[in-house]
Amino acid sequence: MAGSESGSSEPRTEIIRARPTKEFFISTLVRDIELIPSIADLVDNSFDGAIRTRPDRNFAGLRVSIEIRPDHFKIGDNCGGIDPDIARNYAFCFGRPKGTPPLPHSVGQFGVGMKRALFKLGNWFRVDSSTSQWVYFVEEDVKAWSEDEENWNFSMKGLRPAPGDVTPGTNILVKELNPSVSQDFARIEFKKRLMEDLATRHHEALREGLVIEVDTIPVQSKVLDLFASPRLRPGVRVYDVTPLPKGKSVHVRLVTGLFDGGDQNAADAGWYVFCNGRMVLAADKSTTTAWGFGGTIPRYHPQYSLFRGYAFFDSEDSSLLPWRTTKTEVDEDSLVYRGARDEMAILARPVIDFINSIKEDTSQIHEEPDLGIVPVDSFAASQTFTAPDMAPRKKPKTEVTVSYQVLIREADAALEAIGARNYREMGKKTFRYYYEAEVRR
Amino acid sequence: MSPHIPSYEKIDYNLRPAKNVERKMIVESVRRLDRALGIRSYTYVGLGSPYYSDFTLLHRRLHIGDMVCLEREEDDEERMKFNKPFNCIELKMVPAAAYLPVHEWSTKPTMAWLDHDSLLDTEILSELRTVSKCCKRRTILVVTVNADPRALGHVGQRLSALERLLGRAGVPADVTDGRVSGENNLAALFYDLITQEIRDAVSSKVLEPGEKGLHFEQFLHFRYRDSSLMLTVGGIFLDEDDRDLLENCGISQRDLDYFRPSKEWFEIPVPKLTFRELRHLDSILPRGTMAGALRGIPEDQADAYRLVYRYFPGFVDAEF
Repeated sequence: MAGSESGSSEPRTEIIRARPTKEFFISTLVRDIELIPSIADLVDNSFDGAIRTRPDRNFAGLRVSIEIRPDHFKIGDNCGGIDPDIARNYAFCFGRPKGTPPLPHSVGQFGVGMKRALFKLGNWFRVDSSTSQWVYFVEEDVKAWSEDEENWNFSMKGLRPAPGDVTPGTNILVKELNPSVSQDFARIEFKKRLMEDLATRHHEALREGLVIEVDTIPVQSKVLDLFASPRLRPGVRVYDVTPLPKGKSVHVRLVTGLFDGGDQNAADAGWYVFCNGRMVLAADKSTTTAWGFGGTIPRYHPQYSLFRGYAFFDSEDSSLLPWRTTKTEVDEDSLVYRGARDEMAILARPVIDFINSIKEDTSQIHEEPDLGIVPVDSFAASQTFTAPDMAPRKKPKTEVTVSYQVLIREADAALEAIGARNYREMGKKTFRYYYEAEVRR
Repeated sequence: MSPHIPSYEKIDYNLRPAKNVERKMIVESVRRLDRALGIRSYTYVGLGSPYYSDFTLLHRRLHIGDMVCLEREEDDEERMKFNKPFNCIELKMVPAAAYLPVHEWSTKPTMAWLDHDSLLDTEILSELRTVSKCCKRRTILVVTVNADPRALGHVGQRLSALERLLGRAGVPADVTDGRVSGENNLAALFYDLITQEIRDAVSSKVLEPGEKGLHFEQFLHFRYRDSSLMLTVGGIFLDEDDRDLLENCGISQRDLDYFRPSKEWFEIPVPKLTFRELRHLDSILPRGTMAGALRGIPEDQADAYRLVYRYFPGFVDAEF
């Protein structure tokens, strides 16, 4: 052992280096997230700006504009900008420092989204921010910055009092895009994918009036609908988990019911999970949302394509919500979530029973009198799932299987004589021959 | 593995003496709760067997008039319907795991006896979880499972059989094939898993406005062996206002011989005695000592009988 050479047998304490490397943030952390969710993270920052600027959540006139080109990425908003003090002490820190001023019901949470997105996108960025009082920008060449392991600082440049005509907001420009990003941005279908994704992830922000546009085309809020009729009511469970640390609570709203958007592959079936209005899980059909978890709910099967479940978790303190930093997964270690999953299973059960009762005949639902489409947001109070009695309609049977055994040599001879490729075909052809000759006349 | 045969197809439920004693003890203890609970107003939820022994006893002895029988084997529907002893029993052809979430817990005070004859598995655990999440103050829950290591198959294959039932993650790290094979070790493991599941679920139960936090107050813990080793755990969900309820109803160490609130269990013995011996022992019970009056009856059999003589069935061959 190395220490034995010194001759001293006294136990010592030595320093082990544990501080992070820049490489960890630039190359490692970015592997945990895909491109589109990382862009959604940047939209989260704008949305939090909107909440800060308009605590009454009247977002009229606020917009987030995204521009994607093979050689650059831009995102800009008029949502209030980043105060220089916040920028100096918090916004550019890796991770959220203790003492970060709280923003009630925020969707930014981990202090990682913006930096991770910038590194994910490219090697050069510039963040311009204007508040009502100050303007400044932060500009870095990531490669150059990464070479000096000692200096972790960014420079705030051009700091000066805001001119009278400035619109408070933040504009981010990323250049020297990473090759895979550049390739994605060049693909013609990428923009549509991004817009569809933002439509569901930011469903709540869009519904509340924030405009999000990609290359000047506004993203349309995707309405979350359920079927309802006088006899068909979704199941709703509303409760608060309290008390949690810091005397805070989490408001939970669970809704289960039926919907059929005409999607043949049932890709939309399953559970949707939201944290402070931000969707973290879409159309989930796994044990995470209680499918096949214990015996209460079966494993997902395409016959359940009508099933829709929505779980909304809201809290003033976003750190109490069951999400992970990528906001594309729920945190299954969260006690709030584990408790909710049991309730989700219980609330899903009568819907599963109903779907089982109509068997595969899902089209029956469309014949329900006065069937309407109701947005999920309109169900705010607990209620039991109720559904009409729909017996499965028996389709009149028109075909029957005939089977019998014959000698192989006779079968082979008949097969050759009638020109069939296999016994099955031979059976059909011989039957058809007899039928045409003797029965149909 | 051999196909699962329900225990009622192997032996008449009524002729299993320890099971018979267990049923009577459960009824006796629940009857003691009557003055506090008003058991007549309860709904009983039980599992299907064409003998309906538990349903018959609970209706006759406790006058429970609203009963739900859960039967998962759709092929048995006609037979189950035919054998229904009373018309206050609603037969539902559905597994318990699927029914319990839709049971009307908030309007019906409920006693559920999940009287399984299979080994503990994730499905039974999820039933316990649902009951513990949905229960109301004073819901009564009893669960019975097979805890016989022989039901896990051959030595050497038992741990993997257990992992199939409970999931790999559901089996504690210190459980080995040899350990589950030890007499009573599987029952001890199942007891821990059952009580852990109930405790865990009820502690995270969502409370309605005005509802107080509940806990599971166990008062029954049986083991018995008619053929397989069976384990039963029973208790009631109470809130802080009910702290003295069991004691006040005479369910305590002092008042009930088989009161078992923890991992110590009451073994229901099955003494092997002739009718003449049974009657003779009755005549020298309960006071004083039996020594010197045993007439050749083995002492251990006599001692076993002393524990259950008030409940022990006297079967006779009868022609109807």
